Amino acid sequence: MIVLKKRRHAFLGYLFFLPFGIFFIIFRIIPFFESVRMVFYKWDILGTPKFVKFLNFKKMFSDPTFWSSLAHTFYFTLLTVPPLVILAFLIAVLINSRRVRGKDFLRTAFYLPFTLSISVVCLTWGMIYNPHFGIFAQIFEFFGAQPINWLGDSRWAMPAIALTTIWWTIGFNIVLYLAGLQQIPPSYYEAAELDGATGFQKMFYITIPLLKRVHALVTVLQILASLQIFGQVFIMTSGGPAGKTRVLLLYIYEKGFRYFKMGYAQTMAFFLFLTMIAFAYLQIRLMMGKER
Amino acid sequence: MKIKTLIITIVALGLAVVYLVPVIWMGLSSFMDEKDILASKWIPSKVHLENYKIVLHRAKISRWFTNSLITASLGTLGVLGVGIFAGYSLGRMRYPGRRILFFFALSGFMIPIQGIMIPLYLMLKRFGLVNNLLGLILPAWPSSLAVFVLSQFMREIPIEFEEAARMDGASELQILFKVILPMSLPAIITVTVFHFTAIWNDFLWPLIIMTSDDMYTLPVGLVTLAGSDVNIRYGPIMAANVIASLPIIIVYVFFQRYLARGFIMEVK
Repeated sequence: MIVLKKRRHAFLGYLFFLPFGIFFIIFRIIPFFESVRMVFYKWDILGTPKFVKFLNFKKMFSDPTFWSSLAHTFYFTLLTVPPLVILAFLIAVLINSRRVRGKDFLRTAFYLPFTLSISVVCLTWGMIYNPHFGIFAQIFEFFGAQPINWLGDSRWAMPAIALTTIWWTIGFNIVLYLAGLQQIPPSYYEAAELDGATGFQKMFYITIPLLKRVHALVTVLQILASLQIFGQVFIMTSGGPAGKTRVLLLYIYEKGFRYFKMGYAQTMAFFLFLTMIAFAYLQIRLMMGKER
Repeated sequence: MKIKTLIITIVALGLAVVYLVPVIWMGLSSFMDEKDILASKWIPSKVHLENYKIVLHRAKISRWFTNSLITASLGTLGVLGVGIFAGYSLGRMRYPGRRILFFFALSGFMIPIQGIMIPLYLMLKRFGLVNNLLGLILPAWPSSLAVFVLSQFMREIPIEFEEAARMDGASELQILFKVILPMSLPAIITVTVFHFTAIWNDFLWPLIIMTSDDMYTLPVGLVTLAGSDVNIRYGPIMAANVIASLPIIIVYVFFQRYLARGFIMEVK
């Protein structure tokens, strides 16, 4: 009887998992194996795919646009990750501070941009950066300086896109930090205060070390997100000026869906996947915590 | 003490207001005619509703809005539908191979959509799902994040609740829907808000699979709008932005308490 019950229980367990499992296999696992296979083919949208061994990789490693796109992606990641982690932490500490009133408003204000669609954000910031009537142009004019054509200047286009991205997405990191901060028992701070600890000491000996896992998680999630930069560039500069903001995913998109070089595009997508996989693994480890 | 509170609060609120300037500017510009905008005005010289009329007339914005709404709703419902069962199975049932299935489900974290978008596109093309809303909806369903959040949350619910129901002869389904599901509401809301906004705001995937402007979602539509019609410039674009943003902002303000609560579980 008990064995029968157990078996039925096991059967139900598999059954409940099944719907997810089916969709997961169709829309993730099969495309994944297909994506590995495609890198060995010359695969144009018309005609039959041709097995070419490592030709795509040879082409990729000798393609200067691939390297520059990769460099631009890393540059963007470097510009965005530190501020998105450090500023998010500081703002979360500020919101969480006992002395601050209006916490609900503050949290809403800093998270609100993240709820906006990427198109809304980029079209609005495109106007903000306008060298004739944009907000920065107004500020520069006020101080009597020559306005900069942010998105049209090859030195400034990427930092401008980075600033927009920071503004757009920092709210998510703030929420993660707030969740972490709220789990630190207040008694730790009270004990420290009894011992006469200063604000800085509390920050460096309690807050920062206790949030070790949150720092790691936020950093890893942010690196993953930044490596996948696409929409901001597509909308704000289309990769210009002079290809100076063409990031890897944009190049993959152009090759794959404009010129239909699917095999070559997939090879680069596979390369992007390889750069991300270590971080993705870390993400799982961090999300699972110590228990497993 | 009191003065310190006041100062810190003023600094924090000041920062938040400066932070919102782009959103405020977007809203104000949507009521300005082109002359006001080119003159760098901040307050419209007169409230100008023309922008909204132009956008609603010329653009297929209501069509894109409907597409986005259908996609985000059905996408999220599907995520919940398959995710709740999988989460319950992995979080609360005991059977051989459960751990393996758990890691299998989590392997989705290692497969970013960018890495598989080309084969996925070719596959949907074979299924006839390119330029079809189902091509946006169905691939969204198997969410590893949803399964992870739900199963971890359900695991924490004390076994006593379940046992009491079992004593009364409740079936597995009854336990899931009458006991576990109501108690998992914070996690369900987190998953809902997260996926609804993610699908609603997604740009890359609809850009790839939608080929006619009737099938665009709002984000893709807005961008093509900005480049298509010379009459649709600054003011009308900002009006379109406002129209596109309002529903999400309302959803967010309404659910934000739950959102924060659900995320706590996620980082724990």
